[in-house]
Amino acid sequence: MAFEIGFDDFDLDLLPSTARHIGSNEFRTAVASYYQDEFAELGGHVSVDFAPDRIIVTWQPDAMETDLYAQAIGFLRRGDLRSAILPLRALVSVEPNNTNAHYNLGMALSDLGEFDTAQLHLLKVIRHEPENINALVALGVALYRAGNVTATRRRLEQALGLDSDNGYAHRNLAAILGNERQLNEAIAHLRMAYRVLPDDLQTVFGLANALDKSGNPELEEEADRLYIRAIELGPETPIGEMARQARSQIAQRTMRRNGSDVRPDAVMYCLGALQRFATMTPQEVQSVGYEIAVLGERGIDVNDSSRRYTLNTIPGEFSGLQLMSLMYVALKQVAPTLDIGFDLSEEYGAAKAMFGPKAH
Amino acid sequence: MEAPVIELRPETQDILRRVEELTGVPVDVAADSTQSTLASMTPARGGAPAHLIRVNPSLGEPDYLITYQCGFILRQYAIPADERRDFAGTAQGRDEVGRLVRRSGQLAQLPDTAKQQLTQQLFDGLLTQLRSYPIGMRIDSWIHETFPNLANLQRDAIAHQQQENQSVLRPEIRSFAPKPVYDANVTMNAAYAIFCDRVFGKMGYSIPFRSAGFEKPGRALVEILQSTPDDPTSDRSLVDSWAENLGLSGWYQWIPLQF
Repeated sequence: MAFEIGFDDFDLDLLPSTARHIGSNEFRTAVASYYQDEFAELGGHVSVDFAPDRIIVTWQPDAMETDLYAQAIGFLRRGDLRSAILPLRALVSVEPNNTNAHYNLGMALSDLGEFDTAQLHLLKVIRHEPENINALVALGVALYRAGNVTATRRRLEQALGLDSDNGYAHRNLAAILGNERQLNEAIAHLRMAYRVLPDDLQTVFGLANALDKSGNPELEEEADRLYIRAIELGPETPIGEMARQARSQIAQRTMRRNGSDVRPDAVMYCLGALQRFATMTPQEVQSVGYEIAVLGERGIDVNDSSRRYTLNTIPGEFSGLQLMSLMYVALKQVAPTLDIGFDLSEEYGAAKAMFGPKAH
Repeated sequence: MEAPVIELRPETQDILRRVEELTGVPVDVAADSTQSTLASMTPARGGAPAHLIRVNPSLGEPDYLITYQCGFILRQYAIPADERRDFAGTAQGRDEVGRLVRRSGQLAQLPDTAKQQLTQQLFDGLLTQLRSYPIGMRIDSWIHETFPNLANLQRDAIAHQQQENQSVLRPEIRSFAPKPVYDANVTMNAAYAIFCDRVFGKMGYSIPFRSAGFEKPGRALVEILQSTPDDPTSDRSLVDSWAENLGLSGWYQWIPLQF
């Protein structure tokens, strides 16, 4: 069990009169003591942490630590990252040196957008196991997602220094190089990754996409063959659908729409929103949508990508267009008939096609 | 591609047969991998040919949830036909929520169309909870007593629901509902937590709500549940008593049920 409660919402009548100044050290000590007492009868392990405005309580009943880990793995296999975090947090609080738990927790947090905390857990793994290549790669991904390209390259190159045949390190480094427009280097790393991971959907698609983007007609046929392979590997996946669309574009290149019809960055933001919201409850999605709507009343600049915004409901920094995309997708899910006065219908439609059948 | 086979336990199949016999309408159970929930049920209404149950088999065994959903139909059909009622919101209730939203600090800053949408969502959500929670507790008790083979599935489903209910205590969720609506929602969550701790053995579900000051109002709802006869003919009275306690009387009405 894990829950959060705002400082202001805690029932002060449950605390000694000397501990009712909200946020004070006496308050925190008394609150921690309160929960320890409440859960004492149930056994198990309870941890009480404090964020600037809230109390975070985690409790795990008496069970073997392998049950916690098995529980977490079960959630991860179902793609339920948010539920997996709870037993993983409980496990690392009980076993601070459990590198498997830290690794999986770091990966899950990274996928959920909590990059700073993800890095902390992955760094713990590396401190204990400096040659843990998977953790180095995962840390590289988290660093990249947080915008730290230099540190990302360092970690991925560190991983390749330990194992030059590590397909995942090659694949992730290629992704960074591709985004940095170093396409030839990206293709070289993707070829190495493909040699090691010929049946890995992301690798196959990544190489196809890089060859496609190179603009070299001599590579177009190879790209198309790899797109076909990607569809075979993941026919019902978002990547499979992206591969179909890419094949269609190869075949109909002269009929592709110009950039003014669909904004590709908004498509990717909508896709990111769909992926993010798939791990959230409807109430959480609703909160995101309406928080941005309130922010929107004060004005959101969608044209200046250097202007960054933050939200209370989800971590991270966002551009104006990204915020509008998040709001659009959120309200499409919880209030589909609402007109927000900003049309992303085509971009949303394209994102839904990429996301696959789970899209609302 | 072949449709995935849904294997239901014998006791679940028995329940489905009972529903079919009682209502005279077949139950159509099919897999739907696009569904985000494990199972959903749409009772046949207005002459529809079947009750629809849709299951996402990749998310686990659906037997407890199917039995739970069937429990509502079985309780309805235990009532004489001319006494069966459906539950619908009133304009009065919706208007009241709208008034609360318009006067609620941060929410008042939303565009008018967003306020209207939020009003409808809050109103519908609260009434759905009022309609389903007290009767749902009856059904949970019935499943717990009658189907020991479903105990693990029931426990897991309840744990998942409790975790979702506890998430409403987070400050950022709390800020998006006017206080009376929020209090009613969390009070019912607290009642469910207290009920589960009592029926299924202490799992600490009520602790979060106790620490947020909702134990007393939650316990009041549980006491209403316990003091109301368990007979399905008393279900409407049970819901009405909860509504009165929560200040929601007049927000809904009972209308003739049409299957």
